Amino acid sequence: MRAYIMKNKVVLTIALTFFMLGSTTNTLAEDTPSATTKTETTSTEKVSKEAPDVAKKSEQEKAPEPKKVKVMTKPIEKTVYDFSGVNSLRGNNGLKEMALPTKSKQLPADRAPIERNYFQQPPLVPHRVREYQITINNNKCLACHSWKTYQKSGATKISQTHFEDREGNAQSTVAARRYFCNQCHVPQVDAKPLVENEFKPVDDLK
Amino acid sequence: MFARTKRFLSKRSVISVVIMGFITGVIFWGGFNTALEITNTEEFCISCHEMKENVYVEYRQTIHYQNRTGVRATCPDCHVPKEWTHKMIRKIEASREVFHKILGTIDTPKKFRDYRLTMAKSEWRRMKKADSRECRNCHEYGSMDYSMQSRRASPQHIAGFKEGKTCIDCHKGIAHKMPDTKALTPEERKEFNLN
Repeated sequence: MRAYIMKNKVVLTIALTFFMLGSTTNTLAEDTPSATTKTETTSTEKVSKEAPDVAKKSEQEKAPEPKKVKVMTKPIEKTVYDFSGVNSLRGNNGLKEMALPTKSKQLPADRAPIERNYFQQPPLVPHRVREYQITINNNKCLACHSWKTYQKSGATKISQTHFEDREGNAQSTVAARRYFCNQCHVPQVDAKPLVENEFKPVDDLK
Repeated sequence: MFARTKRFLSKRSVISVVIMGFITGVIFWGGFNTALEITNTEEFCISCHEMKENVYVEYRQTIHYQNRTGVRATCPDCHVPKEWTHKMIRKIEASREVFHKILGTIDTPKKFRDYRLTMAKSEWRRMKKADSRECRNCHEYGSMDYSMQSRRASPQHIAGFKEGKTCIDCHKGIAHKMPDTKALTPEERKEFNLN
């Protein structure tokens, strides 16, 4: 009986070394993630076939070696890159690989006004606003969007609501809380939504 | 007497005087030009803290400092004319700036803020008078392809040039922050095309 266990142990260790070897080669050949996952699963299958028998027998007989058994039943998780659609910011890269630089999103220079999606949505800015100064002295946006200039420049007029303070009192100039246009009105990059969105605006807003 | 003059004007001396004059001329003119060119560098401009801590800091945020093509316009590219005559005139005018540097007219942030509109007005006037000459060293409107400009820029450029406007009429505060223009008179607002 003892000899049988010994024999089994030898088989076990051999299987273990094979498994370890397999996994190390997996890490080396990380270029093809699909292939590595395949080989990994086959090696674990092999091991798990033998593992339960050993576990049972060692339990019956003498002090088992729980560490090894654990390793057999739960193979070390690595080089499996399927995160079921959710990826880290580094992408599906191994720890030793450098993450690829993300593609920078380009701001379109100029386009037609962007449709609004919901009621009272602040309109989006359909042009570049780099270097548009909004300082105590100067509001570049109002060079076109103010009541004085909107007709000449063909821009959207600033809403009358922007002249009201928080108590609803009308002011002669743009209210301080509405002065900084880009707190609400922002340009848009052409970015696809990360999560699919089926939201549809109300028909009347179309 | 006559003999002395004759001796003085002997062939040798005339030639030597001409050569000496030529050499000293080259040295002086070369030195003058080199010195002038040194004052025409960004390094020289920001060797004064008034420039380095105010306008230079603002300029570093703008497209004339950093952009997609890597073409950079430094201080003298916009503020000093390229042609010799205009450059000399501007350089002589600049002696006033040296005077004010010594007086310390803008040596604190507060003083700079208070004096800013005056300085901006003088530079806007200079630009307008010269038909934005320094802008046109790079941005010549004859070389502009309107069809490649954005849908908002293209019609405005066409209309602007038709009206006889020049770059600075619209493109103010592009490399530095705008001054507080509240103190401008209505006439001045019209002159500078401000609303």
